[in-house]
Amino acid sequence: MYKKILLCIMSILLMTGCWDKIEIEKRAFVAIVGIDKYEEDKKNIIETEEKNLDQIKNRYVVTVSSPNTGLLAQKGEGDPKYVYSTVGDNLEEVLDELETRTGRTLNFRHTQAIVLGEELAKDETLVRESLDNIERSPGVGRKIYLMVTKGKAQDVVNAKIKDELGTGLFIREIMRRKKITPKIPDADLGYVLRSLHESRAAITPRMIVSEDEIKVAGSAVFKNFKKIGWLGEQETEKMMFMLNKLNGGILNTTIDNIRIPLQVTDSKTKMKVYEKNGQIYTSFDIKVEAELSQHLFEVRNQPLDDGYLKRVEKIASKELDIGIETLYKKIQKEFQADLVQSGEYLRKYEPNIWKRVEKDWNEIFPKTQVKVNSEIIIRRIGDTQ
Amino acid sequence: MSFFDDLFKPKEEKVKVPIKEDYQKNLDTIKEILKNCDDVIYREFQPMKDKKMNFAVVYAEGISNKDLLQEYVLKSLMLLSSDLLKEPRLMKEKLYEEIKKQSISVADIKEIDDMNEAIDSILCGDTVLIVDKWDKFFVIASKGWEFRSISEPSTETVIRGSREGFVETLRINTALIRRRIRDPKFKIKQMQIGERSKTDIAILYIEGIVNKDILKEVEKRLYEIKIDAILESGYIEQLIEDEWKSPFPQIQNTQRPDVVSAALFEGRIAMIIDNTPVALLIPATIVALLQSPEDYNERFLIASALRILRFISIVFALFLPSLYIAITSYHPGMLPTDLALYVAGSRMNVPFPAFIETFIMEASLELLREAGVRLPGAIGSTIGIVGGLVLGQAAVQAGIVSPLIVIVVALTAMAAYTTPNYSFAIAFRMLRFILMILAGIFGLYGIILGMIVILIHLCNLKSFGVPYLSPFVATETTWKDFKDVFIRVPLQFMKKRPEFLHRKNNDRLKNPKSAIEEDTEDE
Repeated sequence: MYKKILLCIMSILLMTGCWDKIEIEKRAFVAIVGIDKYEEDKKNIIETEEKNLDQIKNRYVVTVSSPNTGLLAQKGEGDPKYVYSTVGDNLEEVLDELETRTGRTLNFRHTQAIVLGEELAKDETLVRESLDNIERSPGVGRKIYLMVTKGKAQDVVNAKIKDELGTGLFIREIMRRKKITPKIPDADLGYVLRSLHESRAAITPRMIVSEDEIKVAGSAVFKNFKKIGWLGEQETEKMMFMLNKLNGGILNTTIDNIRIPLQVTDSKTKMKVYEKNGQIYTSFDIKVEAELSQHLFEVRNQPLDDGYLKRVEKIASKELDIGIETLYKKIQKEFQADLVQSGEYLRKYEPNIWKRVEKDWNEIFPKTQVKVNSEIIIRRIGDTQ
Repeated sequence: MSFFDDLFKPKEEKVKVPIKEDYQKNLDTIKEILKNCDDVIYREFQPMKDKKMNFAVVYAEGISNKDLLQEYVLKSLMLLSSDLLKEPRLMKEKLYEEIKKQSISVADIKEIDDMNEAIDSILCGDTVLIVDKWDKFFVIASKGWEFRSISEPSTETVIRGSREGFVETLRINTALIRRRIRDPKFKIKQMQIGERSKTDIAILYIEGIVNKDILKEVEKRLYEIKIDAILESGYIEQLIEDEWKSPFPQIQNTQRPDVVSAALFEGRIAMIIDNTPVALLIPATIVALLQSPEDYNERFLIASALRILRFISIVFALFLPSLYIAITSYHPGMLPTDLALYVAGSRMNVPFPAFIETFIMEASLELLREAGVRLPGAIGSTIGIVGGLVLGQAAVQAGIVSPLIVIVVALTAMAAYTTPNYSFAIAFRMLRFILMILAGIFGLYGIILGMIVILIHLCNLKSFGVPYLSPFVATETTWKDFKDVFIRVPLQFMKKRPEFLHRKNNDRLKNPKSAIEEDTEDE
């Protein structure tokens, strides 16, 4: 008995494990990662063979920022964030290099966003490599955002934001606003990966950076693992309607020369794909609850009139129908990317049709017809006299 | 296990030493046995004028009531002799009758014919009266000594409830309970344990409610004890408990008569041991150990809320430091981002890893507690201030520990103090350190492993045949006991006694007449 207990205790001592026991202050919490394509700077290439070899290997530029935690706990001084940037052949190598430079273990559990530079996003191989690396690493959560920026991701990470400790946390606060405006697409990493797996197409938030400000608006369209175009802010909003991911936003209508913004409070979309007379249709049934948030000053009684509100509802929903139809056609013609995942719908719910069209879906999708049937209900009209 | 074999050897029958008729010989035997016992007083006297009759009272000074002896034994014996002188004829025949029936006006008097019993009586505080030419002694109940007055127990204070606590004298303690249970079926069975200490032990139960199998088991285990001295109820507890290796107490202890009475009404068995204010309650379950008498005195909403708070606090007391270690060293991803960054920042430049840091602080808290217990009241609180405030503050300012760990340790200590039962709380104190070590080695995985081991042990544990975890390990009927676990349902709905004892008579709240009838049926 005692020998057994002794053996147990001894075996604990022999275990040289604890590989992930790293004290919290010895970790660098990466707030934001920027991945860029390495662009050879022709001037710098030195003609010796050794150096040349070294240069060829570099394909990525990775920039990470981690907040200065000491400053947060009122214990240290200095810049609110540390930014490190390095180059390498693949992401794993770059991250190892970064660890040796920061002297701390990089932790991606609290990462808010991974930003891809535009040049990298256009390169299929690099995007596929990056996505696979991200998907494989257990330390990266699925609720973070994969974003594409116009220009270089490095600039996003480097941006000195006013009033904020580190860019990463700032992005989190921005992304929380997606509940208010659909101009920021509700497309997290989990959605992007799944949609790319299933339909080889997805949208990711688009990031625009200026000197001291960051803006997330619009989206980038991915098809076959590379960026093929942008969607504007209004288009992103319609896209969110189609994906049933809309949480809020404003629908603008004009009636009798009066601009009426309708604040969306609730929205539900039902997508259906069906075949009729040999033609595949995609239909969207949209039910929107909205609030009339602005009319014209001193127009008495009109907004209270039920018939009038019915007219507003009708016109607004018609405008919405047209907007969505236009976008659908744009996706078909311009991108030929199945962003609404209608193919996936067929595979799941109409396997008989899917069997027939599976092989030529890329050709069939641009020919599908769209039917939008939206219904807007104005629930509230605000305070009136 | 030879130690326990020795301990539980069956008792040898006592040899009876008969008393002789010769007065002087009897006195000499007693003096021989009680040689060098200078607290034993021998008072010889010859009340008759012819000095034919010899009398002697033997008693131990300090534990017998001297006034009673003087007033009602010695004085009346002297008076009696003068009466008897008038009728010498009566003297021979009726002397003993007279003494017993008329002369000694003491409440309790009995005759014995065994020398050993006489010695025991003297040492208990009774007085032995030796009469010439008679082969029996009178034993006069003259126990009486100084005792602490009844006061509120310091460990189990309540805001609403009785302020009485047990004292060191068995008889007073049983009286405190008898006052609460005026039921002829409330029984007090007394026995003596300890070859040399001969400590009185009273087993208390209410017939008809108690589970007789458990009662038999208790009596059996008590009978098997063969030890020289019982100084405190802890001795009994350790000798009769089911699993001596377990850190958890399997017998509840209390200093409050109201707690004992409540347990008796539930059908449990109480044990009161002389010379200690701590009574034992059998059997104990984890739920009983987490109850406070106030749970029943307060109204049910508040009582239930406090119950839930107490359950949460044992989880805190057990897991908080180890969770801190595991999360800061292994799983910082589990914290919300802002908190993770703050923790990382606050631990900057702390020279120790989280495990050592937590261990130092927890160990110093234990030191503080132990020092506080040993020191007298006024200095004890000073130690608390010096240790808790000054040391904690200084350690944080010096940068040796992070401010967060001070909060964790303080929270743990507070949570541990909410446990009403001290013995139960110290079990958790010990397990906390084991879990901390596991968390230091394996992280959260280690904590879960430790928790599983503790739970397996608790599931196996039994207190006198009753599962320790009941009603969590519910059988067909014991699930009903959940009415008194996390929440305490209003008294109106507590119509049955707890089920875990599996007794026959379970009704609490009903027509009193039928309750009595059922009691009789049960017997």
